[in-house]
Amino acid sequence: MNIEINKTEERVNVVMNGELDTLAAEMAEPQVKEIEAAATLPITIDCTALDYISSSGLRLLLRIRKAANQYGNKVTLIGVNANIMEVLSITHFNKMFEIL
Amino acid sequence: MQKRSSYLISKAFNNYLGASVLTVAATQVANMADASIVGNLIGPEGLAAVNLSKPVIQAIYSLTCLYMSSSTILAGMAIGKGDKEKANKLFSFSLLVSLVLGALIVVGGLGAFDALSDLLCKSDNLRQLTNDFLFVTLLSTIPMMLMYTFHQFVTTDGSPKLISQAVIVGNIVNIGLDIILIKYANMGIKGAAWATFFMYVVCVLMVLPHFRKKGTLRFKIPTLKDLELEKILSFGLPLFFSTALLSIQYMGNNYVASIYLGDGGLIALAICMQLFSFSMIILTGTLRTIQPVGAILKGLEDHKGMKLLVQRAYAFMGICLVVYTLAIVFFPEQISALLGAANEQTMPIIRMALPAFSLHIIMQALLYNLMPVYQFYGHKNLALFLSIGQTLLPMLCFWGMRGHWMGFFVGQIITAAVILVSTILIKSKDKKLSAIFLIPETESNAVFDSTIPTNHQALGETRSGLRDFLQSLDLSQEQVNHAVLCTEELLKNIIDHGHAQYVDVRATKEIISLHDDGKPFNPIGYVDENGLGLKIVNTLLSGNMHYDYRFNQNMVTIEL
Repeated sequence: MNIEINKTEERVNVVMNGELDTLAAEMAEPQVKEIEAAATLPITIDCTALDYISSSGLRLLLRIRKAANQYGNKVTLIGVNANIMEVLSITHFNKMFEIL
Repeated sequence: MQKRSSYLISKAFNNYLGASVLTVAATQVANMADASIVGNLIGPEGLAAVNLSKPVIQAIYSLTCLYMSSSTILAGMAIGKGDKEKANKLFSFSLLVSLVLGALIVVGGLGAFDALSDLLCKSDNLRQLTNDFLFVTLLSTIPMMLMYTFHQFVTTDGSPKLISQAVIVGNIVNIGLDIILIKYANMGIKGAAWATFFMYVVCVLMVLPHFRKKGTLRFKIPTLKDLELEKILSFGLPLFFSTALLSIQYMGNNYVASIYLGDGGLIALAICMQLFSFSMIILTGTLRTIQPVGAILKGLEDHKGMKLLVQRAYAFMGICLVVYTLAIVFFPEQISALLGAANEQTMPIIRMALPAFSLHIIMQALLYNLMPVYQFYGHKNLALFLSIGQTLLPMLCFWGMRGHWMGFFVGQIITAAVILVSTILIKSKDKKLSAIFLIPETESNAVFDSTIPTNHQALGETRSGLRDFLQSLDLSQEQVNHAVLCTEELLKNIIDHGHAQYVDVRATKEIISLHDDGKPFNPIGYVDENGLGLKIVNTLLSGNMHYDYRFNQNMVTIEL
């Protein structure tokens, strides 16, 4: 699992690559903190190369959303594949995030 | 990937073994105490009358073996498969048969009381005592059969310790009532019989709280179609024969000893038989562990688990038997003194008998415990041969060798040779079976089998290993994704909240099973802080999961 964070003046672009399972979510703690700190800007998470997500990964998305909400910003997910979409729908995350 | 270890199987084995050994040991000790009380308070005639009624008790027990032990094994296999309905029906069938057959025996026995009494007792001196004891013994049939049924099923249903407690309390009641009824109520031998009657009743009453627990067996009237009567009988026959033929073996041994060896031989044989009875603690304790645990493993088609169970059982028996035999071989004087038979005339023959007989005891235990394993895997004829051969061949060889003490061992060796040749022939037709036990070898690419410690690192490795395994099977990508995701969610709950040390993760093309040694904890029903994992699991797998708590283990089964 690999998480890249690119900050521009207008937004934070995050690229998630691989499988976001319980272990990966734990290992991603430093990157999540970095994203939370950068949540003063709107956030886009590119999920094109994200193959798998479990509830631990979802919790991580929730934390990012909570941090963004504090500043009135939105989190947008892009490139979500069918597998991940199914999990987002089951947990109603599709209603909490803007999905493009 | 972590390999499957024997950790959880060993834990299940120990959990059952302790309780089974205690149950058998308590029964043996109580029987001795019971006999000693009757002997002391009523006199040797009382003891003889009790002994004369023994064939009736033995016959009732053999009849119960015919349907009850087999129903328990089949119920265990059904539970392993997650088919609780079938287990309930088998349990109810056994209860109903115990009631109906018990009632028939009472009515028939009382109806033909005089004929039965004539058959059992030829001595006019003992007639009244035997009749008194036999009358109450017949009345005890129903509680006795109910006790056997409840005890076997409740053990398989996961409460072996409750059975030990019931047996210990029941026997204390028996001994206490013996003294009260015989000595203070002047009821004589009838008092001893009523004390036994109440022991059965107490043993039944004490196990009833088991059924208050959620998920335990329930009464459900079965139809004949549900039951596979033929299977019940074919499973029951080996145990029926091995118990029914035991009386013939005892009588035959006594006959051979009396004609070839005289009184000294009879005394030595009595000591041998006492030692044989005592070895039942090892033999039966192990058997009553293999039966319930093995049946459930067979239901899960967990052949690797079955192998681990059998290895564990034989390692335990091996050590116990070596210690026991060494004690017999090196301390024959002390053993004979303990049994009140050490004197100058008897000791030479006892010294000759015991080492040879101890070899028979070892072989008896080692061969006898093959029986349930053959039954699980459908080798009915082998099980049947074992039950008959082991009971009769040692006696016949003892006879054929004109009372030579090695006769018993030779009989066992012949039985073992027949079994060995048969298993070699069976194995030559099916190479995938293990030697002697004939447990199917699991092809490593047909099953994912792993024992993991409860940490997230192991969870991550298991998840990717499981995904690779499931992808190699003939499953759709969607099925694989759902199964992997749900397994991760359930494992995460077990690891984070189940207080377990290890989890056995097993997958085949039909099922995924997760067994852990934590406190009772249903990961399917666990709601985490946002309920996310639960939502995922319930949506993707609704109705295709079972949770069970058995052998002190949480067991989750996911059907694919």
